[in-house]
Parts: sequence; structure tokens; C-alpha cells
Amino acid sequence: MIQHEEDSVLMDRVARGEEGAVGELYDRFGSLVFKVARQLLSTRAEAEDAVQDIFVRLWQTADRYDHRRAKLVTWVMLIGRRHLIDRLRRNAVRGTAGSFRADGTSDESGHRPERKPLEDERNDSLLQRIAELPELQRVVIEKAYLQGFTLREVSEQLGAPLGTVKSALSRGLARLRERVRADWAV
Amino acid sequence: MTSVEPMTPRQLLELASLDALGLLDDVESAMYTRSFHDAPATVQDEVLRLQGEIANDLQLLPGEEPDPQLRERVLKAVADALALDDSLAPLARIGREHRQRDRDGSRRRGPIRLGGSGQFWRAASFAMAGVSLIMAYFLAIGRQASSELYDAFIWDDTERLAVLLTVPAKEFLLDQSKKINLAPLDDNAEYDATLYVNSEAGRVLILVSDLPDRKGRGYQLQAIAAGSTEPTVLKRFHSPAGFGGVRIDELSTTLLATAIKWQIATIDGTVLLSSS
Repeated sequence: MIQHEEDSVLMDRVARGEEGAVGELYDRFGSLVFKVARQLLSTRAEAEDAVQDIFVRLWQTADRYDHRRAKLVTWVMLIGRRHLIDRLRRNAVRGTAGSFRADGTSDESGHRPERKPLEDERNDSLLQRIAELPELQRVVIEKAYLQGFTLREVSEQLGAPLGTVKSALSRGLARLRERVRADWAV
Repeated sequence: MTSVEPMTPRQLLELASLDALGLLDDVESAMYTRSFHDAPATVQDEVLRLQGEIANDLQLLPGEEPDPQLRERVLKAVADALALDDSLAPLARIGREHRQRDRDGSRRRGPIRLGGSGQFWRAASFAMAGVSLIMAYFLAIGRQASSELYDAFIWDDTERLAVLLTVPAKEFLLDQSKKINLAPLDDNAEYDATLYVNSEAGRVLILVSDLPDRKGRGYQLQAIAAGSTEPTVLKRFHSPAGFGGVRIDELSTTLLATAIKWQIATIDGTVLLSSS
């Protein structure tokens, strides 16, 4: 059985609530989901809570996974990031967490963000590479990818056409991946 | 719903990363999915490859690993959610679609398999209630038809004419539509609504009873997609007086398939009815 068929079978089992299947799903993607959560959320505890919620959501939506539309990893990341972005927005409304900038300064509201302990070498490399991007790409990546603003919100904040914002984000992410991959190439 | 030009292959490839990372909003994501399905197989394969690569790319992520205990917490959280779901009466889950495999191995949607005679009879009585509702809809249209048709004709309201002149309910009763009951948020409210959603055909039938007359200002059907808390407005409509139906076609099949909550709200966004 090829991978995408196996993924469909796994998600069928997850939809039925088989504990073994949920465990398999976590074993494959738990670390990845945690890292994405850690990137966007201020504390480790909050990231862990988010991971719990995301896997519950993955179970709830398991019967909607279509292997013809996306690889399972893409589906997991899509559900995960949407949940995290919603969480960021809720936190912003409640004022419990400021937005994060790559240079560690506060957001437009003037509130100092809770410190994100991105100490490890990989994160430092990422932040450095983000800072080196062309201005528009850097700002769009910070706002959309790191802070969870929608592209329309970013477009309105910058006064830039939505298409321009999308292109900048797409090209910025591609350039970022190339440079970071080069940093870590053996 | 107004049709828009599908995305070109170049746009699909350029936006592949944004779609994979969940950075497109619901409408754009639905448009992306629709365009994806219309694209040549070579383009689809390239999009899938790119998106898989992006999603798996750990280079842009922190190096921290989760605690080993998080695995048990996740399993418990899902088990708790499952237990809560199981505590619902079977009637509340009827209509949930489970994927099945056809004999040729392809996937298709189908109704949930019910086990046990008790569940069968509850399901049968529920289905009968659905039939009664549909029959009442036809009768209501029959009584109201002449005056409403005349009004729609005089005011050249083609959308209203299409609703009154077609026979939408029968299709929704006989096809693979999922029935969704909406309850008013106000316990004292006397209005009610039921949806029949056919996500594969991209259409919804709304049956409403006694929604307040808003003097032409109308309502909107909205849905919240999986992984999101923000509703997407699917269609604005005018409610028929008393009891009647509104059919909506050409909706996003992706959004209909991934919606986890349905609402009817006023135009300014005040939610009146919601699914559980």
C-alpha cells in the first residue's frame, strides 16, 4: 500500500477514535505540531495546550481528510496553523499576549511582548535570516507567519495590494527556506 | 454565488506554500482547492510535492522537542472528547458522514452505519420527522405561492422566482444531504431552522419557520470551517414568511465539507440560530 493510501486508512481509524491510531498520528506529527506551536506562542505551556487542542481537532475532522487534495502532513499543518492563528487572535483580543517581532521589540499597541525563549542556534539563524530579507518580505513574514495576521489584515496595515502581499510572503518564505537550509547544510 | 476565474497553474504553484501553511483565508483556500481540482495532473502532483516539502520542513521551526508526557496528555484529551461525543443521543449524530470505500477501492461518503434495533427505530422516526417537514414545506409553498409569485414577478425578483418555481426539497430528501438542526440562541425564541447540506454538490436547502420579518434586510447563512473560529458568510437570503425554504447552489464544496458549525445571523452578524 502506498503512503497516501496508508494515510487515508490511518485517518479512517482516527475518525473512529481508535486510540492506537491517534497515538500513531501523534508519533508522526506531534513533534512538528509542537514546534509550530512553539514558534507562534509565547510559552511552552501554552504550546502544549495548543497541541492537545489541535489533535482533538484532527480527530474531529479526520473524516474530512482527502488524500487526493493534500498529503497528510499538509492537512495536519493546515489544521494546526489555523487553530494557532485563532488562538493568537483570541489572545490579542484579551490582551494576554503581545505580538512578536523578529527583533524582539514591542508591537504597534505599545505593549512589550512576553519574551519568547527562542534560544537555540537554529532559531537565532532563522531570526537573522528574516532580518536580512528585503523590507516588504521581512515585514510580511513577521506579521503573517510569526504573528498570525491574515493576509488581508497585513494588506490593510501596510496599504499594499493583497496580491503584492501574497507574492512577497510566498517569495520571502522560499528565500528564507533556501538560506536557512544553506546555513544547516552538512 | 458568483463564479470567479480559477487560479492559473502559475498561481497555484506560487501560492502552494501559503495554502500549505494555512495562510490563505477561507474563501481563498476554497478557491485554491477548487482550482487545484481543475488543474492538470502534472500541476496537482507538483503542488502536492511542494506542499509536502514545506509542511515537513523543520528548518524554519524552533529546535525544541515536546516533553514525552505530552503524548499521554494528547491521547487523554482525544479520549475525553470521544467520550463526550459518545454521550450524545444517537439522533444527534445521525447524518454525520463517514468515509467508506467502494468495492473498487475509491472513497465515497455515506451515511453512518447504525448498530442495534433501538438505534434503527430512532433513526427511522427521525427520518419520518424529516419527511413530514418536507411535506409541510410543499403545502406552505402551495398556499403562499400565488401571492408570492405575483410579487416576485411584479418586482422582477428572479432569485425569488427561482426559489418558488423549483421543487428543491425532494432532491435534498433523496440525495446524500446531511441534515443539520439549528437551535435559537434565545431560549424564548419561537423561530427555528433546519439545513440540508450536500457538500459534494455544493448546495444547501434552508428550511425556516417564523423568522422575524426584517423588512427586506434579510439574513445570512454562515459556516465555521474546521480549525477556525471565524464564520464565513455563504449566502444572504430573505426569509419567507411563516414556514418555507430557501435553496442555495454553487457553494464552496470544500467549505461545506469542512464546516463544523452552521449559523443563521442577521446581516450585521448577530447570530440567531446555531448548530451544536
